[in-house]
This record gives sequence, structure tokens and C-alpha cells, in this order.
Amino acid sequence: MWVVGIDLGTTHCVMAYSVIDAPEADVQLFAIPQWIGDQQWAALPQLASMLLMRYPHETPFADLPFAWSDSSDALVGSWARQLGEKNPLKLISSAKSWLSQTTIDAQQQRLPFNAEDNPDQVLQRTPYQVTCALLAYLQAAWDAQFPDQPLAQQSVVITLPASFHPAARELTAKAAQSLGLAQLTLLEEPQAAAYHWLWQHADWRQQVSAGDRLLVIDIGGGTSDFSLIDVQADQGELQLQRVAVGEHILLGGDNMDLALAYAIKTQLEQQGQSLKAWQLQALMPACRQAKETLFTHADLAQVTVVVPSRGSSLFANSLTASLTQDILQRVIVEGFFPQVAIDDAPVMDSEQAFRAEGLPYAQDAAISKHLAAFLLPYVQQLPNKILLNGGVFKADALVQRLQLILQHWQPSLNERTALNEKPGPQLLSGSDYDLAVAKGAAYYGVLRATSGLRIRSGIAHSYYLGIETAGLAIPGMAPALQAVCVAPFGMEEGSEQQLTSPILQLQVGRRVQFQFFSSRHRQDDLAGRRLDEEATEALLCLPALTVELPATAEHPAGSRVSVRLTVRITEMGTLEIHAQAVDGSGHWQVALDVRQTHE
Amino acid sequence: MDGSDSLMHHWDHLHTLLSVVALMFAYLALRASKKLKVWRLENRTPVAETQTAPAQNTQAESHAPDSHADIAQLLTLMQQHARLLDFVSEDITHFSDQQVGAVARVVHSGLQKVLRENLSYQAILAQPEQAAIQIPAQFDAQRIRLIGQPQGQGPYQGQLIHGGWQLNQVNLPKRGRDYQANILQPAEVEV
Repeated sequence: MWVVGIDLGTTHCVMAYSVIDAPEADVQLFAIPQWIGDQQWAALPQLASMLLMRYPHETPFADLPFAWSDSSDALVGSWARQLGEKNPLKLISSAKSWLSQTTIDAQQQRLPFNAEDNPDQVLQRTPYQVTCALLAYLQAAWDAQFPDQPLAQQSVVITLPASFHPAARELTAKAAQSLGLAQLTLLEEPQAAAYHWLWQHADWRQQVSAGDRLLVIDIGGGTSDFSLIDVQADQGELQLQRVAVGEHILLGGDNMDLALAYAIKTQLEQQGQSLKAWQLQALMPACRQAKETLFTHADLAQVTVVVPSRGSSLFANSLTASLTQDILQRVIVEGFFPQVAIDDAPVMDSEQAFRAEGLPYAQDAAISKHLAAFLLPYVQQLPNKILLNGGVFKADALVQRLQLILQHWQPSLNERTALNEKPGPQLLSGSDYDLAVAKGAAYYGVLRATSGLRIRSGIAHSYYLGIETAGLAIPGMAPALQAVCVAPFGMEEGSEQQLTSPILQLQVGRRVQFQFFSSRHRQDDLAGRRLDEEATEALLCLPALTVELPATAEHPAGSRVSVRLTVRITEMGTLEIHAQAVDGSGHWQVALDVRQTHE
Repeated sequence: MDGSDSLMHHWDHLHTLLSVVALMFAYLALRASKKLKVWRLENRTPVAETQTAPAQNTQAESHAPDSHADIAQLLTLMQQHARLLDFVSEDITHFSDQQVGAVARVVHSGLQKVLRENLSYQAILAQPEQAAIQIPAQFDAQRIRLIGQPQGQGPYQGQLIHGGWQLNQVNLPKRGRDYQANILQPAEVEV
């Protein structure tokens, strides 16, 4: 049997695999076949996670060389991305960010989300359907190449942001299960990057030592994800423990390219040139290329950015602008990685306003401020090792800037401690910035099967259930909620916990809603702990949970049952809640079903 | 597009160079094309029973022989990523060197990408140019061309002027069933 790691990224998908029971993990990349042009087909390491949808009256898309359920309605991968640049209204991108939004229903919201503006609606999919479609595509491509090892019979590890909320994890698992991927494990992306590092460094025990604190920074195309991993000694053996994960930040490499495109746009407008929408769109890849050139060649003062005309003349109406090191420094280095103090929290209003409607993109582009907010609770012991992942870090200038920022944050022994006397964090040499997560996931699958070293993690948040407080009802006011901890931070996969309190009165045969909360800061709450109103308000409000306990012979519809809750973290890594009648007369599973309550 | 027929007389050096490069690789691709497989309908794994129209078994009528399809494909990629046909087809006599230079970067980076992704090629002699070099008496005259005044039977002492290029592999994308080799770029109409 094989293990297959799938990096189901916001902007790209990557697949890697290894034989499970080989003495040494031999992780290989699976090149994903896809259209790369009109009627041109090639296998590439990455698959753009984008669907280009057609209008109902348009000819269905050409057949693929393998069976994919969405093949006549959608294009995926490189050609979808290229056509999408010219037809943005037909393109579904960043569906994963929609999946993880707590404010929408990922099984109802239809994408592309602004398609309603068109009288002839382009075909749409929900974020959940997009996840299914992408996974189905990868599965079909795999099965076509390895007909004797169908994906459904392999051990599959899918990576997700560490900050994904439980319902989004659940939906991803559900999508995989709907395709028959039964042997499924979910893994946090920064952990996958760490596993990749472990795989690449057989001598890792010489590179870290007990007491080290490792910061993993994973900056993808659309998201930034942070995790802290501690190195601990356990009976003479080094163990790794994931101690914290960051918030979900919708801010990544694409924002940097977009910010540069806007900077160039401003420059051109000051020269009296106005840009059309397609030109701004075309500026992004041009800026990305110019950015990479300038970062690689620090001695270059500037690079010319050209957006050729759409017509056959390259000269008539072509846009030409200069991207200088100054702009790069101001927009990228200072805009995204300013040297801030560790207590400098991200702000809500930003000079670089590049908000698109719909998704709650991070308002503050300063990744270093988000990092500061993440590390502030750990100021007593800041990380002394860093591991970077994501294409952004191909730029040495950004790596050095990050190191400098972290060095600044180290506490001073006294006020006159010079910066160069502070210990800077040591960079663990990573590589394969675009492919590490999938490869690390495959390696994790091997370790799991062979009981090799694992990063101890457990759940990264504590979870709470909101219950109404008993008290005088105030007309027009919703009763105040008190949160009860149902799943404590660090609860491990495969473990379960029965809550002796609260005992809930549930009506059978009716939809009942619960409010769930989470926190990544309250790490000491035990299951059953009741928080006061003030503490409850500080929790992160998750989508309301709708529960319908089916009626049974003993409990006909409409009757009330007293139940206790049991919380289980599955082997796969999802949260499961069961309700058991106190008198033992019934047992129900409470599905983590995300439905939008308001509206 | 205007007056493209008269362009032949106005090509400057850059044009010539780029065209030669393109045609050279197109030619090399043609030579290597015999090894290439064309993806055909019958190679496909069965498509799920969608109960729609029966699969069309008629192979796409290529309007050009298969060998031309490789050249067309390479030109399509060079047009798609480097705007090569647009660039070469335009009369650039009256544009400034600065304008031509800016556009040449688009063409250059695009061509680089296309060559890197679809072909592998390397220098025949890896030594730095201008280096002193010895060529044995028995050498492949197609791979190495002696210029100047070679004396006797060799070995020859000389200076490397140009390292040459050799093609190692052609790895063009597979073509879809409906691939039309004579379409290098479709006309675009905004509606």
C-alpha cells in the first residue's frame, strides 16, 4: 500500500506519494496532468486550484483523458488560470478560503460569487463542491496513472491550515469520504512543512536540541499560517510538540503581487495613463516576475514592467513602467514585513486597501504584525529556530528581514543591549518551498504507519458550547450565553471525553441550534469548565451547529430527552459530538453541520 | 497587422535572431517528433457512462500532417507565452530602441520559459568561450566545426569561439483529440 500526501492549497494543489512499508520513506512527487493550453495537455508539479466555469449555453469543455465528474462544465489547472485572467467572472478561485469562512454556508454559497450580476448566469458551484471537484480531479488523474493502486485504496493524508475551524475540517473530510477515500488523515500544513524538514534531515537531532522552540511560517499564495513546535526531551529521546497555531489570515504572496500592481498603476496614473481592468490583471504576473528579478539581483536598480496590448501589435497601446528597488522595498519589505514591536497589533484600517468583496481578507497587510500578535503570548520564550515555507521565501531579502524582526523581539537584558548582542533565531534550511507540504504529508503517512516519530499535537483550539443562562428574561434581549468547555486544548486524536455536565434537554425530531465557540489562548480549561459572560464574549464565535435528533420508538418526535455529550477527536482529526440519553435509552451523533443561522 | 506583407524587408537583427532561434527549435522538434506520442481518443480510459451522445470516434482531421503539428505546437506556445508571431510580424523600424528593448524582454522571458519547459538542450562544448581547447584528431565534424586554418591531422590547438548547442530531449505537451495544428492563436473577440 502507498501513502499519498495531498496539499489542497488555496491557490495550488500538489500530490506526493511513498510506499508505506519500505525501510526508508521514498517520497516522490506526482506530476498532475492538466490542460496547459487549448488542446494541449501536460503533467505539472502543481495544479492551480481554480475552476473556470462555462455559461450554460456554451459548448461543454473537451473530454479529458480520464473520467472526471465535472469535466464538461469546468476547466481546472493551468489552462483554467490562464483563461481566467481574461474571463475573471467565470473563474472560481480561493474556494478554500470560502470553505473556511464562518460567516457563510460552504454548502449553500454559490461561486463565482458575483455571477448574479450577469443575466446569463455562469454555472456555479459551492465551496464544498469545489473541494469535491478538485479532489475528484486529483483522484481521477492518480487512478489513470496507477490503475492497480486506486487512490481509494491508499492511505491518504490531506493537509489543511492549522487555523481551519472544525466545520471546515469536517467538510474537507466529508468531501474526501464522498469519493471513497476511506483511509484518510488530516494534517496541519505547518506541521507538514516540519515533517518535510525532518525527512530531508536524517540528522535533525543534531540540528535541534531539547528546549528549542521552532517557529514555522507558511506563507502560501492566499494565506499565512504560523505554528510553534517545541523540542522536548523524553527519556533521553527528542520529542516534538506542537504548542500553538495562529489565526486564519487571508494574506499571502498573491497580495504582494497585487500590491505591486497597484503601486505601478498609481505610478502610471500619475503620468496621465489610465488602466483598464484587464491591464491591471495582466500587471500582476508581470510584477511578480519583476519582483523575483529584483530580489534575485539586488544590484539592479529597476526592472521594466511591460503589459503588451491585447492586439497583435506589441507596441501600440503597450504599457511600460518601471519597478524600482525603492518601490519593492516600500511595498513589499516595508508594506508586508515592517519592523514592528512585538506588542504592535495588526490594525483594522490599512493604507494598502486591496479588499475584494466577499472574503474577509486581512485588513492589515503587515505580516510581521500578525506574527507579533501570534507570538506575544509567548514573549517569555520566543522561538530560537525558524522554518519557512512558501514561494515568498525564495527572496532572501524577506528571509533576512524576518530574522531581523525576530531578533529585535528577543527581550533585552538591559536597555542598552545592542541588537547584535541579542540572539537571533537560527534558520533551519528548508527547500522545495512550493512542494514541501505535500511531500511532508506523504512522509507523515509513512511515519504514522511505521510508528515513527510524530509531532505530538492534539487539537489546536479549545471548544465551547454556549448555553443560555438561567435568569430573568429581559424582553427584546437574547438571553445571555455562558460557554462550557467541551473539548480542551491539546485533546489528542483518537481520544474521547464524556461531559458530566451540562445535561441538556433536547427535543427529538426537531432542528435545534447550538452556538459553538473556540479559543486558541485558553489552553488550561478542562472539559466541563463553565466560563462567565465576560470570558465567553472573548471567545471566537463559530458557525452555529444545527442538530436534529431523529425520533425513535422510545422517543417520539416532539418529546424531550435529557442528554449528556461525549466529544471525540477522530483518528482522522475531526471533532465528533455524540449525545447520549442520561437514562441510556438512546444515542445520537450530533453532526457538525454548518448552516448560516441569520438571514 | 497592417502591411505585414512588406515586413520581410524591414527585419532588423533582433528579429532575425529570434526567428532563427524559433525556426531552429521548430526544426529540431520536427526531427525529434517521430518519438512523440500523440494522445488519441483510444488511449483514454473509459469515461463515466454519461448517456449522452456516443463518443465521437472520428479522429480530428488535422489540416496539416502530423510532423507539422509539432512545429505548430511549438509556435503556438511561443506565441502564447512570448508573443513571438506578433513580435516578428510587426514592422518595428520606426520604434525606438527603448520601446523595442522593453518588448524584447517580454519575448525573451516567454521564449525562455517555453524552451525550458518543452525542450532540453545544452552546449556541445561546456568550456568557457575564448578558452584554449584541444580537439582530438578524430572528431565529429558535425558536432565541431574547425574554422581558420587547421594544419595537419590534429590534434588541434584552438580557441573556443562558440560552444554550440545540442538538443537532448523534446517534451512537448500532448495534443488533445481536437487539436488543430493550423491554429496558432485563435482570433479574440470581446462581446
